[in-house]
Amino acid sequence: MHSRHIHIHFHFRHITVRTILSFLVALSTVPQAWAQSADSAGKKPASITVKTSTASGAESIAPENPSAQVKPEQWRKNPPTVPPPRPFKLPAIENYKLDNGLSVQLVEDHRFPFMTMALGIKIGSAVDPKDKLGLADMTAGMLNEGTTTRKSKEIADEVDFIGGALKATSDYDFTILSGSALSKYRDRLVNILSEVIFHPTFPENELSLAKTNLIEELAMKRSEPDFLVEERFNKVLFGNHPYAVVAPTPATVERLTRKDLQDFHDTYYLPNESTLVVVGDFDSAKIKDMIAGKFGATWKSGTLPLAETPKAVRQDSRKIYLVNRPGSVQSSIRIGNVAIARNDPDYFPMVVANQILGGAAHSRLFLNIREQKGYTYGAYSSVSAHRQPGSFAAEANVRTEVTAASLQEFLYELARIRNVKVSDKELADGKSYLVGSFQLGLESQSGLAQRLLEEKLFDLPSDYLETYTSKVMAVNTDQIRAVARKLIDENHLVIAVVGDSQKILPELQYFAPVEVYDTSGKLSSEAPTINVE
Amino acid sequence: MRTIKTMRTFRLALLSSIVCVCAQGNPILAQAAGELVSTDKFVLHKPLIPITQDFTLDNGLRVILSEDHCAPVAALALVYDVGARNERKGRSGFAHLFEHMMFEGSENVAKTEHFKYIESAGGTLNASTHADFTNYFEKMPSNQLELALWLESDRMRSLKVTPENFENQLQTVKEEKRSSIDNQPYAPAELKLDELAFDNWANAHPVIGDFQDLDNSSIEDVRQFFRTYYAPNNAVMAIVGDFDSTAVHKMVEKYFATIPRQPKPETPQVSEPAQKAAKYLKVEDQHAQMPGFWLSFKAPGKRDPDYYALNLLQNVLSAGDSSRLYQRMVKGDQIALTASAGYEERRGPSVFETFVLYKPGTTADQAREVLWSEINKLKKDPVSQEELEKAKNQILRSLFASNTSTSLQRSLGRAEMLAEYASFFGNPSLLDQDVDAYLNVTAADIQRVAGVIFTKENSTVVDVVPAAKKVSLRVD
Repeated sequence: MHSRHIHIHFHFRHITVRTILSFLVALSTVPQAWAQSADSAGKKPASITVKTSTASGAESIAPENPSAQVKPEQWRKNPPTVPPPRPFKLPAIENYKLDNGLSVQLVEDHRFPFMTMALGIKIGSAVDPKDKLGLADMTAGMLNEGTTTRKSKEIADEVDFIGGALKATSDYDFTILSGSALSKYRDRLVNILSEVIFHPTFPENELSLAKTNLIEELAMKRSEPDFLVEERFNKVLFGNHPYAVVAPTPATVERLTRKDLQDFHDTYYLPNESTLVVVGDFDSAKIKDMIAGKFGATWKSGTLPLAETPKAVRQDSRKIYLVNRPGSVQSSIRIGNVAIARNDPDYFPMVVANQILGGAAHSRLFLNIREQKGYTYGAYSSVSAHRQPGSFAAEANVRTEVTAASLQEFLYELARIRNVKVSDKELADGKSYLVGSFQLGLESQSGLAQRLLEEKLFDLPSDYLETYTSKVMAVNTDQIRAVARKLIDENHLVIAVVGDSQKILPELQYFAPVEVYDTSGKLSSEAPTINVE
Repeated sequence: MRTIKTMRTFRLALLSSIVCVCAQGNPILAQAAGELVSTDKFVLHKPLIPITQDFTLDNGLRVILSEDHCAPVAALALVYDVGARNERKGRSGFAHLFEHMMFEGSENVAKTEHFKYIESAGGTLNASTHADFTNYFEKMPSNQLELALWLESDRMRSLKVTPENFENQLQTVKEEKRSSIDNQPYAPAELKLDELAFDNWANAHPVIGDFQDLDNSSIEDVRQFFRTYYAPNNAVMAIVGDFDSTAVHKMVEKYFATIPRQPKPETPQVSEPAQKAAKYLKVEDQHAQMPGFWLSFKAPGKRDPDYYALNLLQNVLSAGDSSRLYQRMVKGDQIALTASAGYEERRGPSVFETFVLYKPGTTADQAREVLWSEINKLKKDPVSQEELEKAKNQILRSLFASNTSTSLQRSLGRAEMLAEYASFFGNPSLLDQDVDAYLNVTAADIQRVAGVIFTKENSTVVDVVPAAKKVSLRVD
């Protein structure tokens, strides 16, 4: 449901790299803030001239400044010089491992009577069998729906009563069970969380309902442009690799059985290489005892399956994949290619390059396509660095009439950052934003928990959090250009567009060959009427 | 199981012991140091958001400072007492368009540089327009606070509105509307809900406005709007974080004191007549795949006597998977994909809404009958003590969890609450009283309020039916 009254200005992308941000869903109860970020890439405006209105010639000098009576104050001309930053210190993190391989991280924080926990397991939808897509996520989602001692409603009653949340979700590489509660009830939180992870029963009637509802939700998704563009984009980019799958199909969901879920859980929910994070108002000694009791000797380690290495899906050339959505007042554009894995040595330079290109309001895509051209509410880019190489994508929802013009601007910006060194100012701004976001993000329990999970699940060095800032600050402009050339595969870009084909197909043909699909995913017999040389 | 419900949030703050276990700083509440070691006791310490200074400049700008040295962060929230309700007919969408214009440059800050300055300083920023207020806010490393004061004061005193920028943002706002409303299922119908439920145009029309009105607006309208509403005496600024109040007080004087006050704007007329008969509308939706409806009721405003019980009622109906609507309609009868309730609280007359997406095999009337039966239960029988306590714990959750809009964990959340309480009600510390009010609500209160609000005469229904043929589900 939309929060109608709150037309928040900005579309805020917290991090340009999609890691496991979305997993702490249970802890998030507020719709995403809409942030407007604009980045005028170092363009200094000429001295501000008073524009005359062409409509009414009589108004020769229209006062631009509504507060004409305010005396100019010269001292305001430039931004203030600010003192050096106050030292940023990470909270104390206690780090240890149980005999069964489970890594544990504890951070005491008594400022608020609240506690946040997350259990991350290195298994996700990438291992879904092709005929049972949705298995990992359904297993995760169904943990709450019944255990050996409690029914679904009893679990819900317990979680809600303790002022808590408890939800598990999967993405390609990981399953995260996150829980939180008023710290007064911390014991009950630990109990219910361990109960659902160790003793789920996946009741038939609950599974049946979940499948029915998921199939309905999938039908609804087919009217959402953001979903459709991501679906087509990923399909083309990743081919047969699991990362191609953005959502299961009704057919594959229908095939899921209770036994499938139970087997998946028993086989893959292992302590070795899993990580437990606890942040908030608790006593370390007591929590360690509880953790040892619940997550220790009784949880046996096993063997996790090896991840499949994808074959690079080589695109022959640039091509446009158009999903026809009749009556669409905007076109959803998504352009990109396969990029890097999380442990790529170029990770930090890539993140900075992406920030300059399209990370926030100060970035090139936003400044150009929105602030200069007025084509869109927001234009951004992102790097999805998974355990295996994920995608790089630049995207925007633009007015239907300017679809082609927008695409032209995207191509211009994608080429520019590859060929021309970015300015020192842009580099400094990009780095500063990333460092700031990183630090500001640690203010909340869930923000900190998320970073701790990230470090362990991606097998990052143990000094990841301590060295994040210095690694970002070390990137230089030569590196930006070099990694941009690796990040953006200019000649083999996949361009996915969701929009009103009748209006935009004739214009898009000039850019690249176009394949047209309908919203069910079926290749359309609709072919371009002209061959453009 | 994941659902498509939204969790409602509450305009409340419950700040418990701000005992700061900081490596470098001093605990800000020395007297609370004794509670460093956590016990099983759940203690609510007041004031929930400690205020270090609260002063008003000669020009009417009220400033509230709250020091917190736990992290080197500062958050600033600036609330202007203007929203969609202040717009005149023919100029809907204006307050929101104006919010966009506020980022387009002032005497010493060129277009887009506001974003750039804050983001390149390592900060984040945002703004939001509501029916009853507009706020601007930024969060940044604490050493950059003066930068934020320079920026906010420059645009408050000397916003520059050029035809070019105006045209550019007009386009942007239209794209925002297209992106979040026109091109989405259910969203256009949701706008129609308020238009129907409210009788007074001031309350009924959408914040995003109407394209025709936006196209009819002129630069002079924008400048006039600025002169009227964006005055220091019409604003409240709250700053929370790692700074020295004495120094910041001086800075605020320096940057804001010379901005002249303006005549006090007219108070908008927002009263609503009591509703005597049910209202109904059916909307065809080009993009919706499933049918649904809203059932909404006129409701009292923020901090009205019944406000607290109504928020708890919302929790009973819709907070969490154990809530009444979810359990009956999604899990029990299994006729809905989603069933939720939301109290759309405003400073004045408000609405309480329920929303249902019902599944094939059920009709709108059947689904509504089930929904009404759940509502009627709350009128007929008081909730149990357990359910009451659960609902109150959900209020506490909204204050202490990490990502709710009323989260005390976030310095920005605190700044916003201080500024809004001061702006709306003249007292930033009302949070303390509100907590008590919530915790004192009885089951009888909830039952009585349900009886008053949830009547057929007071109801508005908007049915949404898919216009498009249902998309076949095959995917290659």
